[in-house]
Amino acid sequence: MNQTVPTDSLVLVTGANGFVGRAVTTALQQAGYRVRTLVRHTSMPEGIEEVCGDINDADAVALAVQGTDVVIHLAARKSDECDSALVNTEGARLLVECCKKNGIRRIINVSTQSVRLRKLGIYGQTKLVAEKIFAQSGLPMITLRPSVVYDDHGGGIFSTIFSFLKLPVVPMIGNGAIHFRPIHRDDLAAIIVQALSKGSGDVMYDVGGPDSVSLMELTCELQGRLGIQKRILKIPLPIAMCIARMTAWMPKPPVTVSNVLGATEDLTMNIDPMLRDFGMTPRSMTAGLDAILTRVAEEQKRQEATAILRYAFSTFGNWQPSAVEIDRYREALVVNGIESHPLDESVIQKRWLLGACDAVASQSSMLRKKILIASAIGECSPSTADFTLPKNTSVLRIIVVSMHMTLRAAAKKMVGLLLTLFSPSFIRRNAGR
Amino acid sequence: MQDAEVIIIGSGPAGVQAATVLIAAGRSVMMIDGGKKAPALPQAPDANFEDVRRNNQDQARWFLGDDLSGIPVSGLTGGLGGGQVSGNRANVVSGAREQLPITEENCQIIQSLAEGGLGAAWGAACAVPEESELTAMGLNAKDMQRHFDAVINDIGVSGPQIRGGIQPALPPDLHASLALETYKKKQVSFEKKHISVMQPLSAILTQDNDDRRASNLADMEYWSDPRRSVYRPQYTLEKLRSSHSFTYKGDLIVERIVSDTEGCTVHARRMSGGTESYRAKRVILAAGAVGSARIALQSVGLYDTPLPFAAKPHVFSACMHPATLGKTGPKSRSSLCQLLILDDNVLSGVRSGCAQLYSYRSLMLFRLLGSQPLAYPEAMKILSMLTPSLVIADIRFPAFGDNGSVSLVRTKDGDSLRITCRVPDAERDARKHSWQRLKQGLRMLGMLPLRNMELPEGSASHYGGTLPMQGTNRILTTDARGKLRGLEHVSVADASVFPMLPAVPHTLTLMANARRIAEAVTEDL
Repeated sequence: MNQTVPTDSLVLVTGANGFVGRAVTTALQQAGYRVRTLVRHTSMPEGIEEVCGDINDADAVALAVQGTDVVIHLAARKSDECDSALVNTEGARLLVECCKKNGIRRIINVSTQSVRLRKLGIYGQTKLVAEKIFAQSGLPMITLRPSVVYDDHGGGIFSTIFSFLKLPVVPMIGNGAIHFRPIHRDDLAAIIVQALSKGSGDVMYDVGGPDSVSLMELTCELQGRLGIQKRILKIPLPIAMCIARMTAWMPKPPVTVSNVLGATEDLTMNIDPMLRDFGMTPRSMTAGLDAILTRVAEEQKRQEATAILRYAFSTFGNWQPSAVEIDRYREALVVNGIESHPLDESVIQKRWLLGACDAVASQSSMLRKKILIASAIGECSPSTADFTLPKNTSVLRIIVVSMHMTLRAAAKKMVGLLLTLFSPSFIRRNAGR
Repeated sequence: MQDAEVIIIGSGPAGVQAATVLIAAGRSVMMIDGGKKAPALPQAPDANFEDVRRNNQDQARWFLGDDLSGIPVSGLTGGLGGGQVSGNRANVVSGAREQLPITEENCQIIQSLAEGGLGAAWGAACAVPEESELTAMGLNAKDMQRHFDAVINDIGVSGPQIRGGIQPALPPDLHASLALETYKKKQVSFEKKHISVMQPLSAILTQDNDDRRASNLADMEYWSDPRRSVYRPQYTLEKLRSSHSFTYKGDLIVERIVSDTEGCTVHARRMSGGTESYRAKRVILAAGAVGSARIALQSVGLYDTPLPFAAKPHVFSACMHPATLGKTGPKSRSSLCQLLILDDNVLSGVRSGCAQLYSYRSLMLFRLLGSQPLAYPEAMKILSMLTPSLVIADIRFPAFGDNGSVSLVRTKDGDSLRITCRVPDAERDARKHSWQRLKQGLRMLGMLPLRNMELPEGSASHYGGTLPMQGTNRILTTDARGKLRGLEHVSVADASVFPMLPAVPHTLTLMANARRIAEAVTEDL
């Protein structure tokens, strides 16, 4: 059971191009392992061996396992889908069979905290069955049960919360008091790599971050940091369950039964064995949040820069500013001390809103300054030369285009004035000062 | 112990001309200057504006400057003329506000600590004023002629062949050539209104001259001038520096000149810290009308006593030229002044107004956005079609010495210069009438004034009259040879000595006069 794995071993990763899988293959490579992946479509970077095939494809799995020393099993359906049982349970069964034939030194099965719930959804059920299949195989096993996983890009749990924060009211299943221990994707990957060479006789580890937080706490914390104050709409569990069942037919349902069940029971995790055996402490929630928010803010600034640059030339055509122009635009904002006044997300996304704000903004407003900067930066790029350089043209065309443009500007102004009537705060926020 | 025979304060058009004369006469000269340099940039693009726009990946470095200060979002760079003192020419005004404190009342004053002074941002428009105008400026027209010739020869001036030594004129652009044709046809009616139209003299080469080359009509004069076709005082300074009897001291702000029987001591403050003193037999003030007044007032310790001040007033008329609608005209052109329209009605010996016409091709659309009300993208589209037919008339009127005052005041942060502009009603009326006549002239030429902008007093950055040449014995006036009363051994070579400024461009005159003063100083030595 306590066999360790030499660092030049060949490690098979299933589900290698998933959210966790990508981090795991990178971490393995960095640690010096040879990596083989079982993937449905080729997508791996250079230096990583690929076996193409489904986790239910007996030939592909056999081929993938052949010659490997260790298997890291990540392939799974993450929620309730029609083929969850096929992938999660039958996939595990097939993998175990192949591993037995090949004298695998260790299998690391990445499971989930969801299997500990009293009332299991399809996801929990199938993952629990998979755990049992691995346990009964007699193969040397380590099972990891991670809590929710996140990363700097706002992926995982945070992308869900962020998308909720953009809604007029923030929906929350139940009272949001259920605690979990979010763990950064890279930390989970590091623990998985550590599990190859370390780990005691324990076959099961709870894997989570150092901080235990509830969804409500996290939502409030994020609202505070982003300076948003939105009402939280608590959806009672029975209603959430109804919605989950009624939308189960959709390809990407807003909420699944497993999601709802996960919000019903507070699971107390014990991460001490993890801390003891794997010799690494995952980063704190604060550090993780800082990184995410920096990232998100950066991303938003880039999006805003792109939107405004494109808007400035929107009457000429579909102009795409290059990275050089985006960086120069942002530098100009800093030079003029107006970089810290972001526009609403909706204004960045919807050009007509941006136009309406532009049309009613005063000449000295932040928005007009930003668009003027964008026009200047854009006009100093070779890619706009065809737009702005003088051309020989007919007087009629000049008249028609000028009238068209004047009407267009007037229409923008009308929309802007209407918006000023209905939501003065929106206009003040985006077109004021 | 003397550091040089003559100390010249300031490296602007007046300072370098005075120095040239003194060095040629075998005198030793030390120049004390703010000396802010333009940013060092790689080889400037020597290509036509359109080609630069199309192909140059680094064009923002030229159009906006590495510090991006060429984007007109705030303050000084906001106006139409701001493009000349921002971006790669931001050095022209940088540090001046902090180092040379000023309180402006009813005006906007531009000071410079740059190498070349405000001349580093000069639009290169030249004129030889009429005899009566020179007289009004306190000059003897006959004496001045050889100095004009010398300056024209030194800096290289092109334009109509009104006198010897002038290089062939630049080809007029589409606007100017159409307007000149119209003028020829309707000359009689123009004469009736006392309006004349001509190509201007410009300090731009149309023939190679030493290391400066003839303009290749790239239409890039405002952004980069790798051929050095447009004259800048820095070029003269470069030549001066190769002389053994010339010393240049930059980074300095002159605080005070102390005269004694032997000569003068100039006390200066280093901008990077510390003070320095230099001695010479004579000092020539060439720090500009504002700078020289400051030094003179500080030297005699005269507080709260106003000196006269003349700021040349200017207004803009943005005109449409319908005859050129939809026509781009030749790609080869210059961005300098294309045409002069003169209001020949004489007032106190000077012509009442002078419109310098600029076409708006290479001046970038974004500079116009802030002065129109439409949403920006629509405005950009309209402007892109209309700017080739847009003509900007920069109209200037005479500045009589009593349209402002300058005094030294004590503030809690130290001494400051207070400049107040109070334009007498008569002068205001004269301007209004001349503006009307010039607008009528523009209409007769086929140009429709669309938007008329009155600009703050002083924003044309042409100042004078602070230390005027006068027959009185009043302190801080100058005699006909530029000697400053109340401060021994000090002469004034810049526009401070002109009791008034004419409507026509006077930079050539101030350079010619600086040579005259320098000659007088040489004789006195």
